[in-house]
Order: sequence, then structure tokens, then C-alpha cells
Amino acid sequence: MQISPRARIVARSLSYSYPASGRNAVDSVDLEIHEGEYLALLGANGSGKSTLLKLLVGLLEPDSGSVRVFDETGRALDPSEVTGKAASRRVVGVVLQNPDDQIIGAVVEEDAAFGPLNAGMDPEEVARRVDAALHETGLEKLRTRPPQFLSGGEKQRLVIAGVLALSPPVLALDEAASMIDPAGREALLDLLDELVAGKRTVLHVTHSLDEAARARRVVVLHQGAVVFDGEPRALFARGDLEAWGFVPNDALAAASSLRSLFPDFRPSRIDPVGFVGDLLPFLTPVLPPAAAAGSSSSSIVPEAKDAALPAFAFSGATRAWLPRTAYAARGIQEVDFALPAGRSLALVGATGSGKSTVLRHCNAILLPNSGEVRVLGVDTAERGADLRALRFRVPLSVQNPEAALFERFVADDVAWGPRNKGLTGRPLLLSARSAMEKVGLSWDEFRDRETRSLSGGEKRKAALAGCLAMEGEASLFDEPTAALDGVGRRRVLDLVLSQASTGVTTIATTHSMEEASRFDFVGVMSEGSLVAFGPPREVFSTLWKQEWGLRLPWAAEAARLLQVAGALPPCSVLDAEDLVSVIAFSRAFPLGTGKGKKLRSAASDPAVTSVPDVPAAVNHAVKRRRRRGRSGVEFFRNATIGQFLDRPSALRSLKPGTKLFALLTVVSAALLAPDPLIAFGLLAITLFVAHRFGRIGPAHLLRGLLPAWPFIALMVLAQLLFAWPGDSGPVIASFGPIDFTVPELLRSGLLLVRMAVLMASLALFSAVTPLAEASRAAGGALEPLARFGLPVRGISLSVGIAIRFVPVLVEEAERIVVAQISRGGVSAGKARPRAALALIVPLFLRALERAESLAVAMELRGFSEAGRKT
Amino acid sequence: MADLPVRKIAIAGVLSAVAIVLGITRLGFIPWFSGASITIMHVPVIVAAILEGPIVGAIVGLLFGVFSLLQAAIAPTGPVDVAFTNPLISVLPRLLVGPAAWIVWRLIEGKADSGRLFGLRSSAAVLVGAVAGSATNTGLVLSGLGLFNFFPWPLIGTVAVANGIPEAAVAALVTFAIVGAWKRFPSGGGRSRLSREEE
Repeated sequence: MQISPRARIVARSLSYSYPASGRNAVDSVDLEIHEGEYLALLGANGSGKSTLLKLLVGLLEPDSGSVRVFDETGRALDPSEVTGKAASRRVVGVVLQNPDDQIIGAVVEEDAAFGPLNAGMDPEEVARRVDAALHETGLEKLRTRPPQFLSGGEKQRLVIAGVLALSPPVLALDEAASMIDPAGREALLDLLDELVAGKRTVLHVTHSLDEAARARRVVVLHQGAVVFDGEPRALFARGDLEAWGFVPNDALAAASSLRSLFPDFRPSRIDPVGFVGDLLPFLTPVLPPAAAAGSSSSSIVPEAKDAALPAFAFSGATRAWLPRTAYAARGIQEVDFALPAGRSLALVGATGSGKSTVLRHCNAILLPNSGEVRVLGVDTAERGADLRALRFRVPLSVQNPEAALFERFVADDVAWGPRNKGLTGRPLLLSARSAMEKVGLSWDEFRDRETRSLSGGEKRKAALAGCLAMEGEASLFDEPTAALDGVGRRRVLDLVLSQASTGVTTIATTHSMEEASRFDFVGVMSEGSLVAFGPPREVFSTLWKQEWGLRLPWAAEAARLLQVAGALPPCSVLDAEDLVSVIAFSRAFPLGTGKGKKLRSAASDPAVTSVPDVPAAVNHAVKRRRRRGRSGVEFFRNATIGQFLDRPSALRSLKPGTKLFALLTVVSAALLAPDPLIAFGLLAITLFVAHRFGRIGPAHLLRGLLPAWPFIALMVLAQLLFAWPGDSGPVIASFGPIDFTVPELLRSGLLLVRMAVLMASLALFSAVTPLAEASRAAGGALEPLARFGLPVRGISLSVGIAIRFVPVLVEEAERIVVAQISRGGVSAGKARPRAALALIVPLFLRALERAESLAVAMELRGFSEAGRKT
Repeated sequence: MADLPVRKIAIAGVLSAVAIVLGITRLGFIPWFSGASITIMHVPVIVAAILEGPIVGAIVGLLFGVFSLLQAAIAPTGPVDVAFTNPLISVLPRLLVGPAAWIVWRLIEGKADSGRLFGLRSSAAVLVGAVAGSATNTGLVLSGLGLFNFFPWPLIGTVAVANGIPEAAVAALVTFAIVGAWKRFPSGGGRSRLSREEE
């Protein structure tokens, strides 16, 4: 059965170079992608893989060579020319890296409908496709949810749903799994498997060997050229992956070491289950299968207290958000641990488990509601504590720290923190210089480079240098390796660990258990609690619990599986080297079944195997003293727009258009009312309607008046005190030169009541109408104006995008503020103009960058300026 | 008229979101003497107008205005918010901020296309454009307050000077920093402050 599969995408001697760059980013690439294939386009950062994808889908035009995309009828389309572009996009659907920059709709189903609506499909067809796409991506249950309440993985699946709704035969993903957590990534890769099983063609552009291993064919790109094209197992059998910029993961390292023991060992898969399956035939059983490794209950008995004072000591630290309200959210609860000075700690846990919250308590960006946090001996909630000085001693590098870069030149950005600290002249220069050299940005080459011109990896380094330049006694890193490729991850991790080795206490959060296993201690966060804390050898063996929903480091998991199969005695394994030596050891000295002697492989530092006790001293904090509970950053969590109260009522179920019309009527009447009595009538009606049909009391609608009383008083005074021209009304009372007249009183009354009407009616509308419905109704109301040349569709879309991006940008703003506070930029609450620039400029730049990505995503989903056909 | 290009829609939406975020996080207010804070919430409107033209500026202004209207009614953050429950004070002036900034910017920038930047002229265009946008905001909002008899005119004149001038100056500074970084205006001889200090 030699049926040659149909070609979907064919590239012939494709080359492309970016303007102002000497070399070809893509260099005479020939590539054929066939129907039903699952192809991984693999390459390190800068290998040209994303550029190649952009050429394939027509986001870039090749300098030379050609691309052809074949549609269902076999017609060849050229994505680089105008007519071919739109048609080829119906064949190849594209998913980009960051889901936040690709979601357009205000709720899930609306976003999925964006593409079909652009394609001008009728409503039934749109609904059918949205249903199908949400079903395929497993999002049916979330269809009415706003994107900000989705996890990263769910967001990315929503982006895929939006692309699938256009039913393209080919799905192309550009690093689509690199910004989501391991659980979300796993779900995404499973989804890709299902799509391939459903006869879709999948092209997955990635830098991850693990992700590429899931494909059936791998094409490796190095310096713009194809250097490998074949099955994953053939790729993994090669020993020269490092030459192409990859860092061999534990699986590949173990495989190559094991070959000295078993020359024929060639794993076909690199996930622990597949790998162990391939390895088992080579091993002789040593023990009857164990029930489950890691179940031996050697609980950790805290040994003698570490002599050094702990750098960080948490005792019963709890932080809740908006407790006792509808928006109540868990931060962290009852966290207890102590980290000795000079040691390193990795915090692991699922997204939202509280890792970052713990980290932010470590430099007093957040303060506990109850319990105590001591940082370098300072109780952070103590009224007298100088938190700004403390933060200088414990700088924090936030997640995606590069988002907070704001100076134009690299050296200035790195020097910003030390400058705030008061350094000038030579010492300033030296601290910036040595920080840059530490992260591997050479001073001479990079000091005058513009931050915006750096690559992603270089930006991360520059941002980390800005943190290191603070020369603190401890360093905090929030996911320092996130979204980097293998080489980048390794460099950054080495850098973080080298901090620790020079005596700087270091805490980092990570999703990678392999990275965590290299720290002195590992803390596991689950649902806001610290559920395990100890040296990695203990945490990843005896303390480990399946219920956390986390995965073990690769080597530990492989060892566990081998133990379950009875091929290894109980042992604790952290990395590939450990695993290989345990296997070699058990081959050389097979153990009798009776002696389940515990094997402790490799050198483990006895000093770090004990869990330091939380010093008792921490517990006698004076409870009655007034303590600080806020540091000034918390308000980000409380930021919301609108005030939608989800109560069933007659008003709630009214059509949003009708409500909008009623609102506009009341507002215009209030503005035009010449007499306070008419305004008062309007107010009475509004409050009655709200109470009777909306189940909302006057107190809720008018509560805005209270904080405004100084202004109201000022206003009334202004009315009364000034002599208004033409005021000849009767005088009620006079105090010296000042007369109080009847018109003045009436005017004050009108102003007050009018304000109350406007406030009550707007608050009522917002309380009974969700924002998304309101914006749709407003768009509908504008529709007739399109005839007069108003770009109505553009305005409606902009409104939707604005609502969509507010939560995204609030999160970003919070990160930038935290980053700048950590570098001494702003003392919470007070902002100086220069510090304001440091916050505002990066916020705008990131927003503009997001807008550009969003525009690309919208274009890829068939948005065209001509508007939808009706 | 055809509808807006996708890029302009995206920028209008995202910059409106920035304006709203500056409001709800209070990042858009810089404490100033006399308790009143000066606001840079209108800077997204000016940036939108200078980067993408008067229509995008007007859209961002519209959304910013509607937001401050809602915010004033639902969760007033400052005493002056009360006046913003009136759409003629909160929305209408903001619609005009963008176009005003754009006209002034365009007049100065002239035909100097963004491809070939005349550093000085482009910088002046951005600075003066931002001042014009900010002045439009202050002028119209205060006029609204006057027209609706919130305050007598002499008082309004004082506020215009006390708050309007620093507000315009800060808006110009911030807008210049953003537009300059986005469009990469050449400045400082292409060298970092630190390396200039080194000598």
C-alpha cells in the first residue's frame, strides 16, 4: 500500500534574513509537510524556527525560494501574496506563544466565535462550529467564563479552540506550551495527540526535546538550516545534540551513560514510563515488586538546630485576600519554615499554590495577616521596621522580570537599583559592571545596547543583573528560568545557584523538579500551604505524596517505576547520574531479597539533610502591639471595573439594550432638569425601581456619596460664598459681606440631587448588567451610526479588547510595581516623577507590544478590514 | 469610510485598557501639593493619537471617559469624582483630547515621515502635542465644571493654573518617554548615562 500522502505545505530553498542582520535567519530550507503528519520543528533560541513558521504562514515574505500551501482541492496557494494569504490561512491555523495576547472575546464562547464571524458564516453555522471546537478542546463547561478566570493551560486551549472553529486541516503552534505550567502543558500535548488521531496535521514549533518527543517526525533547525529530519528515536540516539544548542535532558544523559552498561540500549521514548519500559528487559529483577516506592515511613526528625540564625523564618504566616467577601481568595496559610543563612531553597507547586506569595513575603512586598515573617532577623510587620532598607538587603526578581526593564540602555537599567540605594560614581559603575559580567553580558559589548534591541534571553539576563547589582544578603527569584530554552535555563539556573554558593541565601520558585533537585532545600506548596520542606533527597522520596498532583524529577520517577517493577532496591535518586550509578551498583552487587537495605547513592551533603527547626524565639512575638498589615501593593488584588451583582431579578433579565436606553434617558433627563424637584423625582423613581425590580437598596447605589463629602461640602460652600453674577434672588441670611440667597440654595440642591441621580442610575445599570453584555449593547446602539462613516465595528471590538486586557495589564502593572519596589524605586504610596516613569513607561511598552501580537493573532483568524459580510 | 485596520483596533483597545488600569490601580495619580493629585490618566489618549492618529485617540478618549464616568458613580476614589458622574464633563472633553493632541503634533511634525526622524523636530512635536492634549483635557473639564455651576469661574481659573500646568508638564514628559522609547528616538548620543558618567 504505497499511497504517497498528500502534501500540505511545501517549502523550496527558502531563505530569509532580517533587515540589518548580516546572516540568514532561514537558510535554503526544503521542507514537505504531509497530510496527517505530527511534525515537531525543533530548535534552540535563535535557530530560525519561528521565522520559518512565519514564512510558512505568510507573516513574512521570503527573500528567495517559495512556499506552497495546498487546500482541500489540491490547489497550490502562495501565502506570501495577497490572494493566497487569506486562502492559505484557512488551511493552516496558527497558535502563538502567549495566550494572553491572542484572546479577543470577553468570554470563552465569544472568543471561539471570532474566526467564524470574520469568515461571514451564518449564526447557526457559527454556533455549530463553536460547539464543536469547545468540545474538542474540553472547554464546554467553561463557555461563559471570562478569560481572566482561566488557567494558563485553559487559555491556550481556548486559543486552539478559536483556531479549530475555522476548521483548518493544519494546526501550527509556535512555542505554544512554553508559558504554561506542567499540568497545562501535559493537557495541551494530549490534545495535540487527539487532534492527530482525528486526522489533523499538526506542526509544533518548539525548543523542548520533551515536547518534540511526542511528535512522529522531528525536523531540527540549527542556524537557519535543517540539520535533522527523522523519527524522534533516531534523534535521541544521536550524541551530538549539544552542538545544535540543546541541553540533553536527564533521559538522554541517562541513556548515553547506560550504554556503557548495556550497549544495545536505545530508548524509543524519553518520558519515564516509556524509558523504563525499554530499560526493563536489560535489568534482572532484584526484589519482588514493591508496592510503591517512597512509602517507607522514615519521617524526618528535626536534628540539632542549625547554628546560624535563619535568614528567613516563617511561623504561622497567613495571608488572605479580601477575607469574608465574595471575592475572598486564599493566599497562603500557616506557613512555617526556617531557611539558614547561606542556603538555597526551591519552592515548587502548581500554579496558584502560593509560591510567589511566599516569595513576596520574603522581601516584605506583602505582609502576613497573621503569624510572623522574620527576614534577616527583622519582623516585617513590626511598625518600626524600615521595609525599604530591608528590601535593599533582599532584592526580589519578579516573574518575567524583563517586562519591567525601562531604561533605554542596558547599563542604566542594571544601575537603577544601586543608584536608588544611593551609590554614585565609581562604586556604582563597578556594581553594574560586575553584575553584568556575572550574568554573562559583557560590559563593553552590552552597556550601550538598547534594552529593546536585546533578544528574549538577553533581556532576562539584563533584568537578573539589575537584581544582582543590588548586592543583597539574600536573593529571591520568581521563576527565573520560565519560558527560556534549554541552554538559557541552564545558564540562569547556574547563576542562581552560584549566588547561593557565595553565601547569599537564595530562594527561587520553579515548575521544574529537575531544577529544584539542585537546591539545598525544596519546599512544596499546595493550595496555600507548605506541605513539605526538606532536602531534595527526602522530599522527592520519603516525603513525596501523589495527592499533590505534581510529578517527580525525571530520574526519581524512573527510579520509582524501576522499584515498582522490582528491578531496583529502595533508593533515593535525584538525577540521571544517580540513576545510572544505582543501576550499576545493583548490577554489581545484587541484594538478597531479605535485605531491603536502603541505598543512598551519590554524595549527599550530610549538613543539609536535616530540616532546621523554626527557632522558638519566633513565637514570642508581642501580640498586642499594633502591627502593620499592609505594605501598599495589595490594592492590585482588589482592582475591578464595574460592580456587577449577580442577583436574579427582573432588571437582571431585561435586555441590555433596553437597560442602556433607560440609563441614557435618565442621565439626559437629570442633566436637563432645571429644577431640583424634577431631579428629586428622578432620584426617587430610580431608587424605587432598583429596590422593587432589581432587589438593590438605596444604600448600595448611593454609597459613593460618602467618600465624596469633602467635595460636596466644598461645592455647596462655593455656591453659597461666592456672589454669582445676576443673582438678584431674595436673601435668606447674610453674614457680613456674604449673602445667602434662594437661587444659591436651589442651585446647591439641584447639583446635589443631580449628582445623586447620575450616581444611582449608573450604579444600578452596572449592578444588573455584566460588562460584556453592556459593551455589546453599546456596540449595537452605535450600529446605525456606521452609515455616517463611524468605524462602529472597530470601536465595538476595541471596547471588547479593552475589557479583556484590563485584568491582564493589572497583573502586569503589579509585577512591574513589585519589581521597581524591590529595586528601591518607589516606597509604596509615594511616587516621585522619575519613579513614576519607571512604572509607566514599561507598562505602556509592554501594552503596545501586546497590541502588536494581538493584531497578528486577529489577522491570523481571518479578520479583515472590509468587515464581515452580511 | 471603511472600518479601522486591525492594528489600530488592537492598539485602541489595549491603550484604553491602560487608561482604565491607571485609574483602578491609582498608578495614574501622582500626589501633588495641596492634596490634589495630578493625573496622567489621559496620557494613553495622547499616546494613541500621536502613534495611530485622531480616530484611535478619540476611541481611547471615549473609553477612558466612559470608564471615569462609571468609576465616579460606582466607586469614587477622590472627591472630584462626583463631578464626573456628568457625562458632559467626563466623556465629552476626553473625546477631544486625542484629536487636539494629534493636530498640534501633526502641524509641527509636518511631512517628516517616521522613516527619517529629525530628532529635534519630532521631539518638539511630541512634547507640544502632549501639552496641547493635556491642556484640552484640563480646559474642557474645568469649563464643564464652570458651565454646570459646580464652581464659580475665578476659582476654576486658579485650579487651571495650579493643576493644569504641572499636569501638562508631566504629561509631556511621560508621553515623550513612551513615544521616544517606542519609536526609538535617538538621544544622548546613543550611549548610556552610566558610560557617559564614566568619563
